[in-house]
Amino acid sequence: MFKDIIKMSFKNLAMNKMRTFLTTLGIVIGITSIIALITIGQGVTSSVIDQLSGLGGNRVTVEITNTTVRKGFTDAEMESFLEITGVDGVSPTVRKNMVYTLVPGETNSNYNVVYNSTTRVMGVNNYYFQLVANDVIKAGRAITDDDIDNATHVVVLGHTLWKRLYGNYNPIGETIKIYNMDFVIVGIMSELVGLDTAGNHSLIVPYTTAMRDLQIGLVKTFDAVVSASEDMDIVVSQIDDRCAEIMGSTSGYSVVNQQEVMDIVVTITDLVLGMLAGIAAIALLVGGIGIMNMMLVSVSERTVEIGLRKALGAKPSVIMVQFLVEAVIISMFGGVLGVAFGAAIAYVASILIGYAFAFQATTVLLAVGFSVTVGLIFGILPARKAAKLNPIDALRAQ
Amino acid sequence: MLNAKKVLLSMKNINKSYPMGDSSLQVLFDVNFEVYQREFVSILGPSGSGKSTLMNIIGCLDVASSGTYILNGKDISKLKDKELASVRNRDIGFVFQSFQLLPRMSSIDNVVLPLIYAKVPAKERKQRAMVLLNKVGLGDKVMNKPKQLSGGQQQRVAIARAMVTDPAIILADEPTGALDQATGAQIIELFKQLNSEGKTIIMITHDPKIARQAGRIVHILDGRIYSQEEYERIYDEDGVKWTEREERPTIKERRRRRLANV
Repeated sequence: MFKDIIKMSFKNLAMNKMRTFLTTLGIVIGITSIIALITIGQGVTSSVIDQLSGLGGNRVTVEITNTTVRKGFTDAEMESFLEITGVDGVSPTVRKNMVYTLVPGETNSNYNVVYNSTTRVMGVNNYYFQLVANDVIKAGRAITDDDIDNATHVVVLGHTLWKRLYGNYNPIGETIKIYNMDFVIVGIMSELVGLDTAGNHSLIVPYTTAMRDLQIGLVKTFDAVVSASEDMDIVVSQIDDRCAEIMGSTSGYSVVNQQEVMDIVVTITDLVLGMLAGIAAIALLVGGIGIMNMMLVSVSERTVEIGLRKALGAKPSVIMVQFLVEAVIISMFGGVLGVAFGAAIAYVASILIGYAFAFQATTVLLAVGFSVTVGLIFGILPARKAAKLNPIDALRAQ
Repeated sequence: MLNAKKVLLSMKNINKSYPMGDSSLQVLFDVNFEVYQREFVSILGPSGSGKSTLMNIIGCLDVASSGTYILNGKDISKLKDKELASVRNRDIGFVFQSFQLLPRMSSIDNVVLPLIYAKVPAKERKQRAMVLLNKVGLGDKVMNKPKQLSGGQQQRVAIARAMVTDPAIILADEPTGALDQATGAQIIELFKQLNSEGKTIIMITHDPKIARQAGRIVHILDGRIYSQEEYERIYDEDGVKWTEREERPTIKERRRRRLANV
């Protein structure tokens, strides 16, 4: 009999196509906005977390904020942070716009003449490549610890810069001049996406070379990489003490635990997401009220029919189920469509904003389950009304 | 001769009253009557006599305020809503004045409807509906919607629907009320035929001519039941008590008074 009820419900819904469509639309809009917001939110949050956490343990960013007191850390000062228990390494970044030169014969660039230009030169160590993204080397190798120790003249090309200078040609082993000094190209980076894309346009060299030979100057900021098992509070306070020692003052610098920053970012995105989802839930609520409204109209339109069905032997529970089924069909259909639209919107957004699109099966189940629940809740009142109709009055209603 | 037959429906001291604010309005007074198997009974009464209320109670659409109602061996007075629904489904076949077919459904789907609620398998439903549609002479109109049928044909579909669960009684409420005389006569003929084949039929009507077509007439007036003999002893053919007949002005006299008033 349940099969018959479902068949009847579909027929009834098909009777009033426009009304059914508009009612479904209410649910579609609600579910679409919830799915789109949740999926976009999850994608953005996980991208942000990926970028902030990087590889292996936590990061503490040390920065000199008042450069009039002190211009920066020297090589040796920075390395002294490695003596703190729990600090696995330091990842400094020095940068400056500098002139570089391509000479035909030394390198096969897109230019047939001696080419001079200016771009950003970044001095880093191997941690930069580990922290900025996964699989960051497209060809060749990254800057190694040997390069740092020996201040070798090697350079890794940022992806955009390489494309502009060489097209698709692989220039590894060839030489370019930076600040009139020869540097051997040892690697090419993959394209960086997300928050930190500075590397795309840069010539990346060992920071020791940058400081000594290219005279970029002292290190104003670096990340201390702390092993995950350490108590962050203790390590952070020790780093702070060391800074104060070097600065000769307790001000003019900052020590920021990136884990805390990440926690704040996650808290804020969660909050914003929650608010947006709340607004979307209101849309769904309105959709639910739409279902209830339609069902109430349907019950009063079909009073005689309900009376007749009861006279012919339909139990109140059967009438109730029939109307509930109609409400659930609308809401379930709306839920499925909403998931499809929401996922599509989130996918387009992922391309436009540039984060990884990830769609979870649990989201689908949740959304469809949620919309069915809405259908049930808002269908109960009209269905009860129908079930309680007195067949005598209903038959007379004509 | 009647005593030899099985009693199918029996009402004892049935009263029905509706609450009206503080007081109540009594519609049926100590109704006692019986219907035997294979009988064709008509219940005759003018509007306001309580015949609709009686029909609703017979049809298990309503329950009596007091008294005992036994239908096909079941004590109806003690049943709940849910159980009443299944009695209506299995033991009663309704035929209404306005046919009450569902306009969106074909004839056969209308006939099948009670069988859905009886949980009969789909294939068997169609077969049984076809048999009955053939019987009422609409074998060639099974896919027609009610709108495509004449009034008489619609009532035939309704009769097929009433018979499809093979109920103990067919309960027809003014079955010819919405039909012209000739078509109405055909419907009555169909009832007679079904009765001769063994169906028990109860027909409610206000029309003495129609009522006389049945095997037996039960009169209802002001909420009380009278047999034909009792009724004739008390009332004349216009439903006026013999004892009050002398005081009743003739039509001529009434017209004279009306003119005098102007």
